Amino acid sequence: VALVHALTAREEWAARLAWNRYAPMVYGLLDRALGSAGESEDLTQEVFLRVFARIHTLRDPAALRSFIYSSALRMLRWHLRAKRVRRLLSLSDSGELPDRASPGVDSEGRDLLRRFYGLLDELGANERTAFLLRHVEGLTLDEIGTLTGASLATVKRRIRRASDRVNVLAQGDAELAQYLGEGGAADGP
Amino acid sequence: MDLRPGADTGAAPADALVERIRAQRGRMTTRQLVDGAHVVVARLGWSRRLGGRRWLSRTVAPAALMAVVGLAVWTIVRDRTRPIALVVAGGRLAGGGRVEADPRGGATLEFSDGTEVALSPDARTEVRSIDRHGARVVMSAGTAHVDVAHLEGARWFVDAGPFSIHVTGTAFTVSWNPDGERLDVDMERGTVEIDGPLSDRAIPLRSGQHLTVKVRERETVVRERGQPAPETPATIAATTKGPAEDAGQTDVESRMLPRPVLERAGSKATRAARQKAGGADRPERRWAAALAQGQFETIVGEAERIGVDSCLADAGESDLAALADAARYARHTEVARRALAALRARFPDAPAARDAAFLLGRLEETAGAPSKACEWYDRYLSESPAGTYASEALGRDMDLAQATYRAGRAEEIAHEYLRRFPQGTYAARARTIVHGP
Repeated sequence: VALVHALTAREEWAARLAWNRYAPMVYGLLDRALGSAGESEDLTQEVFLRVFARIHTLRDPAALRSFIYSSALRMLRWHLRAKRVRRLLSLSDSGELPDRASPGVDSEGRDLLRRFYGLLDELGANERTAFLLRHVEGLTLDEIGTLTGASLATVKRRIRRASDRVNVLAQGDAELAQYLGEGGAADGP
Repeated sequence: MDLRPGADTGAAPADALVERIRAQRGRMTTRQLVDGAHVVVARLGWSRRLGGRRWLSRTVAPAALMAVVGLAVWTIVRDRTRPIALVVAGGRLAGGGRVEADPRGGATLEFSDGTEVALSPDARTEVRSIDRHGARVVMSAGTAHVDVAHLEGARWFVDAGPFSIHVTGTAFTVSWNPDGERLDVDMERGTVEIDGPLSDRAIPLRSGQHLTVKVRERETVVRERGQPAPETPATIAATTKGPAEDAGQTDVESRMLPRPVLERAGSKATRAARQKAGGADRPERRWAAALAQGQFETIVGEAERIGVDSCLADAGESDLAALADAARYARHTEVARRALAALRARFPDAPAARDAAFLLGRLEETAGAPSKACEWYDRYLSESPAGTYASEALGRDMDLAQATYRAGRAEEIAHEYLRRFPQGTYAARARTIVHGP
């Protein structure tokens, strides 16, 4: 609560404290969703700038963490939508796939993840977000509905459509299909 | 127990790839954290409130004079609206509050309220802000001995790398090594609270304690000052004696580890009894001892090498609970969830299994899932109405009800809390809910 009051009073130390405390959470969400350290890093900063600019709208000071998480999610959907539009207009963001692997990851695993994120790029922003929140972040349907402002039926539909599409697309990629066919167990994490 | 989402939206597709994402992505490096803080603060352009720009502008002229005499002096008449005065012995203040030490020795910041900060020669330090209540000193590398005068309303902060130490009246030594990403805080007297990237909550430290945080290894260890730092064994299985078995460690670790862990790591008799209850033939990995040494990543790493499924199926109660704790501390949330669920499924009568309900609630709360968290807290309270975490579970349940705008439920829990724990941690908040602010 004191932290929120200090942020509202525009105290620099509070911004640093909030960043140090919550940036890893936001970065984690974004990096798992985007598969790009650079994009996630930039977007994490944007999320916090937006949070600090809108901190006065936070009604319950004890809910700062949820406030930041919701903001990160909104920013993620906006980013995915913008990125998708750019891709549709120019076929590619930059002509190259972005960084999609962590240092130290084996090359085969890196390639698999690169392919998988490439496949997720085919999904719409809402479907991709719902898919990631459900299957990667492990949230419940109710929670996804609350966070994204969608009804339960809509959330279910988005996840089902995304899941079906991911499966179809994965089957169309020979290496992914082979990996998934083997259960992913041979070189699992 | 199935903690995964239900099947009404289709099976989780490409499970193995999703697991890969969870395992390999989402870790922010210290460099990203530190650099990001600079960028965000710079782009915010918020004034440094404790003294602010007025203070900086007053620094330049005196600093030039101080360079000549080898002593940096900057004074401001102290009244109710002006900051504490500062003298830099053995150095000077440069632009932006940067401390430039005399190359022959470290500088000492001497504040007019009696507070002193002695810097090592290699320390890279800034006095970021100052006012009549205290100051914020930011150290990006090196060591500082801090002795803060205990005055009413004092508000001092020492930032070391990505960590922020909140000080009232106390004396301690802090070191930050940016290359090794290691923080050390050695307490002489008083108390501090340390906020940083490895924990959601501030870590409290009291007189006589020493904190070591190794960010890269994600290790956080608190021990009594003067006791040797725990060594990292080549393999946990080779550890012959955990520090928690040594006299004097239990009290220290109790600040960092929940009581059940201490019990698990505590006596050989307790462990033997638990082994008997859980099955004598199970492999004992001594993870409880490693846990007490703060080797969270090592424990999870070993479980992953052996195979998490295999560990969940054959580990004894003590090892399973230690794995769950290590995974929670190191933020391997999915491993922690599965270990806690296995603990409840395989040892349903054990106290640790009942405690697991509370810990699962904490995991869900941290993951931003308040409704699931409340379910676990309610389950814990029904299974262990007088359990170790009863007050905390009820208090958090109340907070979550309030945070999710379920005012009626929050008030109901607040009444219950006040009836059961009138002097508890959440009592003041409960009274506010019941009687209004």
